[in-house]
Amino acid sequence: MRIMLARIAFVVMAAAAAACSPGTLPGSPSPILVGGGGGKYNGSITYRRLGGNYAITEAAQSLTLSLALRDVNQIIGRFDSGESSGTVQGVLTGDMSNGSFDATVLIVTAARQGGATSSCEGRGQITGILSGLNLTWTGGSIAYDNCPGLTISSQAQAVAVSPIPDLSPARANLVITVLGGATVRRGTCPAGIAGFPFTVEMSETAGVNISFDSQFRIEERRGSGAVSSTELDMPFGSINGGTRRTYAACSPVAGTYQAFFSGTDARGNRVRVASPVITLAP
Amino acid sequence: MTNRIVAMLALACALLAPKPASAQIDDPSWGVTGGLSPQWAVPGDWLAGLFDAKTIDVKGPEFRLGIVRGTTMGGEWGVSLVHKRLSKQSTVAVAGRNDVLTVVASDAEMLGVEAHRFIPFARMNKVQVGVNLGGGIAQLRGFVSGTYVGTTSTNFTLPFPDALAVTGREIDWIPVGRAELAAATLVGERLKVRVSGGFNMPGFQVVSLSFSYLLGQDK
Repeated sequence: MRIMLARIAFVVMAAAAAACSPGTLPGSPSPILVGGGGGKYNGSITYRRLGGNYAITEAAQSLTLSLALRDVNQIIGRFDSGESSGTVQGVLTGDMSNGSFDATVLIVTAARQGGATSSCEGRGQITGILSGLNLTWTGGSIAYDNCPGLTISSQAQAVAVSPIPDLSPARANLVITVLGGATVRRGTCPAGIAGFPFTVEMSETAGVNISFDSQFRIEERRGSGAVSSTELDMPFGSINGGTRRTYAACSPVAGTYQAFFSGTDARGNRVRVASPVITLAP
Repeated sequence: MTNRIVAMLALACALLAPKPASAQIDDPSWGVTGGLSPQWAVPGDWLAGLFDAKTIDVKGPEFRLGIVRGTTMGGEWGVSLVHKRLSKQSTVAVAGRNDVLTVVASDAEMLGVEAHRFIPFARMNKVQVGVNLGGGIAQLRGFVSGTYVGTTSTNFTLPFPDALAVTGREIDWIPVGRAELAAATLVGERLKVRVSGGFNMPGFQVVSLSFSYLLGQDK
């Protein structure tokens, strides 16, 4: 009797093992789909020095980029690429699997001059294309405020490896978005005059506290005029990890609006983020 | 609203004094105390420098509730919970490094504890005249709205302690205190009603109404 039971158990286990072997799974693994809320991309990026007496690495570097879609048409992300890292904030046209974007890149690049290496903080505009799993971006020029004269261009190609953006828990992730989307229609300002009212949300999503610098910058373009820049005193000193703050703004004239914030997170990392370029539609 | 409260307090006083007082509490006794100020205000800009403000116009009502120890015809001291609300017309223009942030109280208050003492220096029948002194500390609570007025206005909702953050300071607690001229009268056997006015940190008040009800044994 005992031998009979052992044989039955052996047969059952053998059948179960055969059913669960990789070669007999029904169907095949689901393909990675990007098109919902964002994705993680791996690829390469090449920087070219356009000017300045600094040396940078111009060979292709590996690129890891995480993008997330927020509030209708705003994309926010973070990238790391060997000697550079930074954030991306922009506006998406289309969707994450078939679209294009214009974005502001805030980047920190290791640049060498006279045997010394500096962390240069730069800013530039890029345009990108999203097609299926593929992402490409090209950047006109990135200029560095604290490394005078240094300007570079960038070109990146990457493939989506996960539909889930991968944010490092080791550093703060501050996201600046405009509630309702980056295109603001005419309405009424709080003072009762006609204008373009909108609400900017600042949220920290990695659970790391941030202390802000004492000022933040707003860049505005009125109508088709030139961009003007205003430095304002930061009205609060910090944001706790995992929390959000909002502020309301209202412009009486059409144009564009973009805000820039900077600070240091609780782990000592420099934080620099911008809002997408907000269009105040006529 | 304030007039209604004053009228109700007066009615309560009348109901508590149906007959002439013939007894009094001469030995110090514990009791309860409370009061209200329809409006305290920071006049002009006399405190502006203290808060790094260009202009300051802060006002609101105050309520107090606490315990007291004293006698009906003598002085008294006590400890009270103090609640000062800032009216929504309260504004402070705070000068930062480059800009002026206009702060308006949207839902702001101060909640604190104050020790106080009423010292009578003159007495006419049941009426005492004296000074009411006090000091304590209050926490800034609630929210204010901070606006940069420009072509594009920018409006932040801030915790009250962050109202002065553009100056590099955050104030969570501020001292409170009072130095008032006061007149008190005995209503019934245990209830003292006091009217006072004067300094009420961080401002002044024209009139404040208080009561003390002593719980001790009559003699």
